[in-house]
Amino acid sequence: MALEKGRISNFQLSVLIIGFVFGSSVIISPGGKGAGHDAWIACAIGLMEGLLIAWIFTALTKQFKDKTIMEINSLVYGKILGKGISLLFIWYLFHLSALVLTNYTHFFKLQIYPATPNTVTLLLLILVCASTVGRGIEVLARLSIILVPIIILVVFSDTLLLIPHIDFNNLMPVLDVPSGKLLLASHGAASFPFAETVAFLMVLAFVDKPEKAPSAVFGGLLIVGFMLIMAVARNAAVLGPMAEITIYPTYLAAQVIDIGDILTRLQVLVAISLITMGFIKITVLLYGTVLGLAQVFNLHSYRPIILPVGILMVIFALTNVGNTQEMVDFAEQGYPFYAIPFQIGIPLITLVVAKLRKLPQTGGDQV
Amino acid sequence: MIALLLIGFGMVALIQIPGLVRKQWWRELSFFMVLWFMGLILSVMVSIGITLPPISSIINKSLTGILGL
Amino acid sequence: MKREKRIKIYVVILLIIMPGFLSGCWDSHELNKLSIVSGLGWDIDNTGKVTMTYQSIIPSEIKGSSGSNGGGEQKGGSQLSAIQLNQDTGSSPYDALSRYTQHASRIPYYEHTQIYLFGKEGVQRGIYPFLDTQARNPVSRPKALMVVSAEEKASDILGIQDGMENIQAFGMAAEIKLSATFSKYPEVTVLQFQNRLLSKTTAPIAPMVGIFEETGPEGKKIRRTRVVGTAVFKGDRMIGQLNERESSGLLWAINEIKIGFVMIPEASMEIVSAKSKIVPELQGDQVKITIEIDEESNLVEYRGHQDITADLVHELEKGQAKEIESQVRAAVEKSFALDADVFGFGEAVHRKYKKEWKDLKPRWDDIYSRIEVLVKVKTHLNEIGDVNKALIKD
Repeated sequence: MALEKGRISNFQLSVLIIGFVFGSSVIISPGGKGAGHDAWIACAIGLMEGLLIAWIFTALTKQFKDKTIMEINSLVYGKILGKGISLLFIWYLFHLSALVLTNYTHFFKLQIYPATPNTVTLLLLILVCASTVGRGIEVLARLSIILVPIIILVVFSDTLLLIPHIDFNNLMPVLDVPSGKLLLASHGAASFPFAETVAFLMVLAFVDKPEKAPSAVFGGLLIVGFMLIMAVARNAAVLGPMAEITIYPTYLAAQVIDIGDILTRLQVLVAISLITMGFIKITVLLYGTVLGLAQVFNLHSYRPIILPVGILMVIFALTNVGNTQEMVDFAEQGYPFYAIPFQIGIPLITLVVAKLRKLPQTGGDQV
Repeated sequence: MIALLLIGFGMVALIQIPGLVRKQWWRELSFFMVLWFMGLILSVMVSIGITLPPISSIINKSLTGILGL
Repeated sequence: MKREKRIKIYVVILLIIMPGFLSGCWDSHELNKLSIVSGLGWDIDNTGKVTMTYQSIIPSEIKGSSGSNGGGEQKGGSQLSAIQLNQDTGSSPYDALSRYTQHASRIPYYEHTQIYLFGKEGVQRGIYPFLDTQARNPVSRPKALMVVSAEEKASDILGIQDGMENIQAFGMAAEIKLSATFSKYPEVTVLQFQNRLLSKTTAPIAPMVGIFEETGPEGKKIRRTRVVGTAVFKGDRMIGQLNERESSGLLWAINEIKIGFVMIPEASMEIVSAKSKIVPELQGDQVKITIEIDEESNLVEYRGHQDITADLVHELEKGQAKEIESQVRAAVEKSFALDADVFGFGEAVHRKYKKEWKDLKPRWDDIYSRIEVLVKVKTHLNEIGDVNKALIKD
């Protein structure tokens, strides 16, 4: 029973990665807190850590071509332990998706639609994601080819339009932050958003040329990494010390754009970026969750469970934090550590065990 | 509010269940029903006003407590 | 066939329901239910009660020619005016704001607010509650201007119909921006004020606007506004001000000179461009700051009754440099007297001397007035105009 018959090209994979990593980072800048105006350096270091983690999990998929992490786990650890670990991973995907939805909701409730109930915003988004997941990974990949370049353009124009307001003095002195804090912020930037690409362990099985897949992943990560570094640096340069206080620095920076009284109020483009890129990220995570569940429980198809899982995600997103500050606290303090077993632990240990057990048998000894 | 919820969940069930029964996919049907019930009960709880435990905050508190941040 | 038909029906139903959501049922703001606030005034009296003054736009009254003078205050004069003033008092800014709805027929809408005006008493007591609202409230615009009133109350200034603009706050914002362009007084946005506040050593500044009377046509006394000084803050309280000369000096030092004029006894020059740099130097515990200014100008007025010679051009350049230097010195002296780092010298030292700054920062208030300041001005007179011979010779 082939749960997923679609195949995506490596180019689509790169674009998907870009959209995914952009996700909610278009509004909540990575590596921000604790690093002050050196946040862009933290972001750069985090990107390197993210690339390292990507190297680990792409090595795993290279070892086991055409298999999602669920199938790999069952092969490596045996059916029972394997399914247990797979369920843990599915929980991570589910939780992460709910976190993205929570970010999404709080941003919209504050800046755009203060009176609209959170439930409505979330339901509308989840319905779109659910219908996309139902059509398979190919449809999502093709969608992202349209959406992602547009948002790349938006991010670049935001930066270009802010050039007159950039004051490099705001970025100086460089490396002002104590290195302990900087490294902590870098790891924060790695775990959100770069290392979250570990979710693609559910997608890499469906690439049509698996040998080239790792470079597609690295390429996508580098592109989006540089864009995020640029955005973080630009926010700090334009906003100065305020960039560390605001929860949504990209949005505030966009409010500064004012060209000839005509190009103003472009902050709405930031909201649009969030809608589109958030959609991609949530769809990938929802897809991973339902596909994983279907594989673990040997279902014929993942389609019937998309809607209930989506609704559960919405409920989780509405209730998993008490207020916005708890959301921010979790993102800054607990999440970088909470994510370690899922982002690094599972792929690394599985890779090591697989190598030790000389799996997969058909492939023989592969490096 | 609860009426809307029931209608919504009812619609979801209506869309999915007939297909599953027709194809005799009992496994999928049972999985679906489990998730469906969880969703129904939780959303009714939320709309009545019972506060569900904020899981992310709980994880955060335990982690920061252990790691001493 | 049946399935396709069902899908089509679902799609149609969706298309009918969707627009209801897309127009934002909960968050729609109809234009005729909004009171567009163009300027917000903040006064505090000696009991600590806050009075907020809103200047709102009446859209139907915006015409090509300005209506009349008088800003439509609560007095009986029902002259047509493009703006309407409302006031509310409460124990805090938001308390006052919340009473607005008791006498207004519309919801205030702050997305077009150009000016936040603070009354004299208010700034001396500290404007922190207002600053917090600005940072926290998502509708406030980071580019709105912070302005201090030289008179007692902000409400007085917001009521004055002045000049060519129908909407007074827009006019005042334009006035301030123009005086900044002509390098007389600074233009300070909310974002700049917040950033100065966040830096523990730099003092926030804001332009000051005052009222003066003049006799207009038919002998009527007209009240008008003008920019009269620069307010200097320590934290959220105003502690002093810079006059015209000192304000210009400040602008020279912080690289905000755009166009304008330099006047020396025998000539006037029009500034074409100017750049300045603040260069810090640490010698042991002594902080030395060099302000390097580079300026280009054209000669627009020469009262010396002489022909222009190459030597004269050099003389004029030297005279210019002296004048600029004395303006900057005046600003520096005043800031030392107030013990307020309006130039950002502290941040300049921070950027260059990362390690030493950790010790210097907590002591900055003491160190500040003992800084050695050196002003180096380089001027260049580009063009001398159309004539190089005097019209009347001595």
